[in-house]
Amino acid sequence: MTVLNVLTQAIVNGLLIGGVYALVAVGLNLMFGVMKLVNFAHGEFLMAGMYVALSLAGLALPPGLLGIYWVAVPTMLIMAVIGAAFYLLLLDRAARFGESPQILLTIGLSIGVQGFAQVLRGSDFKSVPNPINGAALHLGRIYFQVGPAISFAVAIGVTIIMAWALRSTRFGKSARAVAESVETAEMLGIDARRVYMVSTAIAIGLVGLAGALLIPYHFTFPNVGQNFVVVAFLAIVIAGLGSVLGAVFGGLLLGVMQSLTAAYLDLDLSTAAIYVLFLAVLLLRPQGLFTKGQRTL
Amino acid sequence: MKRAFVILVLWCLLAVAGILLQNNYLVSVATSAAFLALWGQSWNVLGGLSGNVSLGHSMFVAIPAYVTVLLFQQADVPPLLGALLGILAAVALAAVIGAATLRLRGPYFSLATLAAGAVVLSLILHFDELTGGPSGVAISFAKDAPEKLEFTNVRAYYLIAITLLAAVTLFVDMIKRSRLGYYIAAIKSSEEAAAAAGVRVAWIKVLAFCLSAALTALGGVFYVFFIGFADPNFLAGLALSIKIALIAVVGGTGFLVGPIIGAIFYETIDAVANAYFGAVGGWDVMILGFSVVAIVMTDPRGICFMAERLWQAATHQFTRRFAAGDA
Repeated sequence: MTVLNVLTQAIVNGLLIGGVYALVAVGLNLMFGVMKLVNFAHGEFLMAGMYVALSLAGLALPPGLLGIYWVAVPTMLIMAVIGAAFYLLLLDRAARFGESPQILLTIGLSIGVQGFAQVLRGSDFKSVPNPINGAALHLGRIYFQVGPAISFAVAIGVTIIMAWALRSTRFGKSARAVAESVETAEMLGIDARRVYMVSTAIAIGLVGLAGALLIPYHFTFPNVGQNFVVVAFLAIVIAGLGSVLGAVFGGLLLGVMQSLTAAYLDLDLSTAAIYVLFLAVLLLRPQGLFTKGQRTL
Repeated sequence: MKRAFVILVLWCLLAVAGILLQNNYLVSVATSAAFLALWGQSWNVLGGLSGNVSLGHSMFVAIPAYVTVLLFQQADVPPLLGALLGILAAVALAAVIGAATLRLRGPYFSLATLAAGAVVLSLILHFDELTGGPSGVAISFAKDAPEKLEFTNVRAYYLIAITLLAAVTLFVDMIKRSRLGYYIAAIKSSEEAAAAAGVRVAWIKVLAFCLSAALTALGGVFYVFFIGFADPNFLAGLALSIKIALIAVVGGTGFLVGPIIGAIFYETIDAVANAYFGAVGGWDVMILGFSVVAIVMTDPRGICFMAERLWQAATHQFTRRFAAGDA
């Protein structure tokens, strides 16, 4: 392979894995933008989504290359309902707490759900045999792995829909108003708690969707979420907390960064590299790369 | 003085209990609890007093531990001198990270410390010729050698741990009631107001972070000799950072006994779950996580405030009944 080929291949791989980070990060940033809450349990919702999707795929697996993807929409809906319950049972009350109890609450939940998954399904790596795993398209000398490519395409689609929804729908306008100022929004007759609940449902639904798209080519195990969510955290800070579009750029950027370090330096250092990039951005541009001033969402 | 006396009495009781207790397993559980309590107490200097939640404190456990062990094994530096260098290294790191990140607030600071901790872990794993990489560094010893911090009886480490815990608790109490403590408290209620009143906010926060790191490091050095093995994924892992913060906040950040209660709570759940479900993994983690959720939902300020509220309610009931009966 030529030098240029290696470089292009690394960038392509990075963008494709970045798509999953982006899907995880979009929900995280929606919740932060609207509720000012960092959901440390987001990775466990990804894990839960993967287990739900695996169970659904176990029920029925239609033939054909894309057969397994029937689980995507049901998983998303199930996880959205779980998200709404998460808001009603915990976050609704926790919204009044200070910051450190909120961090503690979501961290406690994340640990508890991980343990629960281990008790319920064991800690071994699970997967379902399917034609997507290992399938690749060749474009010249560049490989496109089919599974990650589908995740990437969905991530882009979701971003466009979210951007449109936040700009143009009634919910989107309410969410932006609440993100700007809860007091003013409530004075204007917006039900902030309803906006919170819907935002949480959307965020958890999207991370469930990400989980469903991951199962064809990624193992499922109780702490699978950690690998993705930490990168998603970094992505949203790099892009700017609260900016939904930024989250996608952040996710893709970190994916590429990781893939380039793995290709040129060392696989061990690929994690360190994104953290260093993250710390550099925090120091030089704490408001994030893609936000202008204080604007959120 | 009164507090110092109470702590001394408690220390004596714990020391006697530990020496009399025949069960080595229970003594080592208690030793772990004492180290965790120490770290929670140290975490509180920044996290509790100023409200900046650090999620990277395990780096201040790992760095001095590795510095001490590696200097000892590869350059024959006596562990106590190595410990001093290790603690200095942790403080230097805290100064750099603190200066860089403490102007960030809330979740930004938490995420920045989380990232810094992860960088430290991946560097330890990467430079495996020096650090042994993922397989860590084993400390092997067959006989007692106090000057090398090597003891064959776990009670020695138990005594060291509760002594350190008592000293750190006294020290944190002193900080709390010193000028520095009031500055930090002022910063917690409002950075702007504190700055307007002449508190050098940035400097004080970095100082608190360094102090917190130094105390954490003190525990780290002795802990690694107690365990006898420097395991990077444990010592520098996110799980330990989270555990330290959880213990401090679950116990209750406003109370001096908060981290101690938090550590006892944690180790009890861990030991009970292991005893009951031993072979089946996950139960300990699940019970711990969900009880943290339950505690936060009941009273976000932690166990100590819950106990205080119950106590007040009970005494209130009691005095009312007593007064009614009297009349």
